[in-house]
Amino acid sequence: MVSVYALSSLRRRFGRVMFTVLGVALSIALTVTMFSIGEGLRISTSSMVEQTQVELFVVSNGSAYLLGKGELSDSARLAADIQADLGGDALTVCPRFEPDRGLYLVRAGEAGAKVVSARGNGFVPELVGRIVGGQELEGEHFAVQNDPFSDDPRYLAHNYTPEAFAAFTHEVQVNRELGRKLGVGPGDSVVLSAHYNMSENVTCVVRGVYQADFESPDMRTFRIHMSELQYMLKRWDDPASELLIDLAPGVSIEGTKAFLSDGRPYSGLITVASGHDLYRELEGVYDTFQGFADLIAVITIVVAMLFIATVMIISVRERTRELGVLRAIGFSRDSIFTLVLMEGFIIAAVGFALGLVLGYLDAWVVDTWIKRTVSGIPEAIHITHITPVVVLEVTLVGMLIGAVAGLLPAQWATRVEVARTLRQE
Amino acid sequence: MAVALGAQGRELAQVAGSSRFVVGLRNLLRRPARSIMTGAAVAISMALLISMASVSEGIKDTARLGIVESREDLVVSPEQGARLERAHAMDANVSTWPEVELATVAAYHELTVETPLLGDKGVYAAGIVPGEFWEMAGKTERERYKGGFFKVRDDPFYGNGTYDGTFTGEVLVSKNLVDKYGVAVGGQLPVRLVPGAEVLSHRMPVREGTRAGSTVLLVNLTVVGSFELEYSGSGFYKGLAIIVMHLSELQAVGGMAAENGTGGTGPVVTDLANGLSIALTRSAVREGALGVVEERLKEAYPQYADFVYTKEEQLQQQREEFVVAEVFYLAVGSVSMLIGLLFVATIMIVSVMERTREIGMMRSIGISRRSIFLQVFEESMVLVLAGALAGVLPGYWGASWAASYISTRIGLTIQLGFSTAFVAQSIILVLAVGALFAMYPAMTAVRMNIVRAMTGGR
Repeated sequence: MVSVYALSSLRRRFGRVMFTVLGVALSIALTVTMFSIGEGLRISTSSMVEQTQVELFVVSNGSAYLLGKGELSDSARLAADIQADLGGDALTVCPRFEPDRGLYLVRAGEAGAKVVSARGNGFVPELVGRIVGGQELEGEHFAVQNDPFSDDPRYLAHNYTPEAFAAFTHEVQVNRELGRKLGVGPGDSVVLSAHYNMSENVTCVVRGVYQADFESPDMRTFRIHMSELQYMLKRWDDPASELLIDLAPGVSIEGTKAFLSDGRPYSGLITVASGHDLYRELEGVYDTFQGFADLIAVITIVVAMLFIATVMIISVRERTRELGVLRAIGFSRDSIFTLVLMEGFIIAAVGFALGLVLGYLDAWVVDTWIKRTVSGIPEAIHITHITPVVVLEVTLVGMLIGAVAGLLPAQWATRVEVARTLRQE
Repeated sequence: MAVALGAQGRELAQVAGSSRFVVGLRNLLRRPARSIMTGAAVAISMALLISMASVSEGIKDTARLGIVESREDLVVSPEQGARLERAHAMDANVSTWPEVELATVAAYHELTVETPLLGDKGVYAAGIVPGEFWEMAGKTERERYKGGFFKVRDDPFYGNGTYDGTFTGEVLVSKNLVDKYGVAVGGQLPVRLVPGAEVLSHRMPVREGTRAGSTVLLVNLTVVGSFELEYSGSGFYKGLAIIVMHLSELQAVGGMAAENGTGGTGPVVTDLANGLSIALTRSAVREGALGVVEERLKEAYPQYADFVYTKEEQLQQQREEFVVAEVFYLAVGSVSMLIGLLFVATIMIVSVMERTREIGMMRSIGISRRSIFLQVFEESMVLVLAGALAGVLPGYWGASWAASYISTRIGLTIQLGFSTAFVAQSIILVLAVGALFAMYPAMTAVRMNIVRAMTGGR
């Protein structure tokens, strides 16, 4: 009965009610978007860290992991030492060499084909095993699982001669963008060289096409056996950008980190970071953003509450007579209170529903648009993410808006004095 | 005659206008509570709009200034693992072109330095030819180096392409290396040769050191100055430290100068670098030679054809990098402004409805529809203007707070884009959009039927 009356009285003031609903909907939509951005970044980061299956990252001492890193020398020996010290605790200790300086590639057997630069990622397939990350899209894995060229006498003697390239495995994998740029797929041949003029080159077969974790769409990379990449760049110190450690289930990550960081012969050469450390570093940035977004949401919500409250107060004051009559025909103060509260609530609820839909749309648009506009955002990152938590938060906000904005006018309405209002006529 | 009439008309219009304004103001004051609430809502929205927009301007400007002010008309900046090869030769060649006033090469490499307080520290090192760099840099970039600059302006170690000249050892360090790591200006900074750089070690003043049992080669650099970073060394960028060296000395220490020859023969000069900046002569720019030089560059160095950028393209790239932040902040600001203006429109509709009788009365004593329209319209605009003005100061506070928040949490210092012109722009924007919103209640008032209004119907 009361709700029907509330609805009909809202309908009488359709224009202003619609405006108010729109205002509330806009602020809810903004709130949804703000909350979802923080949530999206957080979820993407933590999944990025979890997905890699790497528990510990070892980089050269003094490096800030996420802001570029130096190189470790003698990486095979270092990896073996660490593996020996950890024993069964470590399933894998895998060196990975991803130098800043890349190589040049060109499609084989085609005169005038475009020479393309790309950064190499050298590793030992059997070591990297299941922690390689990323996705093999087409083709297959490396056929040669170890790194045979690392035993070649010319590699060991630091004797650079292009004839040694003949002893390579002649295998590479290219990432999607490089494959596209070269126009090659699995089974095709590509020529690699350290020089743009393609002197001192080696021909390899493309085993497969992959997409690395969190690679940006225009990044060109290829995977190759580690010693072959080192040799082509004339690096004799067996350099690695990092060692990836996959610990056995149940082994303490922090404990192992502390063990490696202090008291070992190599401790002075390395900095050890856990996946959690990386996450924390990124999380600081996201927290900042989230704090910002939350503040914006709160400000908008305050405006929305002011909005509903003002409109409702005016409605109550306009209807002093009407409310007096309702009281006179036997409506209790409670019913009047409920009536006005309900009107506020209906506005908030409709605004909330509309705002949620708008917010979903908005979050989707933001996500798609940002990814399309900015090159360099990893594919797996979702800028916005509407989780149940976000919906719950926004629902609470919506209820808060309705309650706060409805209570004051409702309280006001109960104070209407029957006799005086009716006498005024 | 016509002139006199015109003047008279204007005078009348002014009187009518000002009286309308007074009536409007009185109407607003008759309902102070709702006017204040509406004004407050507009003020909050305005404050949010202003602070968001000025943060976005600030982020953009902070990055843009360096490019705008610099004299670089063209840069060659290889990416995706590519490097400039034989960079000094390329520099020398391009410098002889008649349109080119100045060309200079820069290189980057990560190095490890030994700091007095915290031991080994990975740093980003930039290699420049100081004199040319100074000529090329803009005002803001130069101001960064007021804490000391290189004494030797050229790059003597390069020699005649043989990397055997005088090794100056001069280095500039970012402020955080001084503050946090205890590096002293005027003191020594040992830097480690990267593996592979030993090939030239006999030409540099190296000494041996040990690290965890193994021998490392070190070169002592002399710190000749420190500089501020826009990354304040806190938050996410707390680990970022930068040093600046002479180009050829960085190349030698970073293994970018030479490599072992085929078959274990001695060093072969590679002279790798990361970027070539070119400034054209004023007359060449005037004559529109930019495109010509760009084409010649691509023809002479096809390997870098994909990596040649004009200043405009650099700015465009930068815009793309910041477009997200910009659009994000503007979107937030405008949505909030829309909500505020919706508020004004709603309150004005309510006011018009309440005053049905009054408006009917005014119409019946002969006040024109136009006057009524303007009165309601002006009333709305007064609300919008008052709110907008009230929002300026909180907007400024909000922006300063946001900038310092970002600076301490992320470590990126933002110059706020807060100026009179900017505030005026925002107010004009709010008034313009506000005017659209104010049309609706004004139209409602005009479309009222006099008879029904007077008899109390709607």
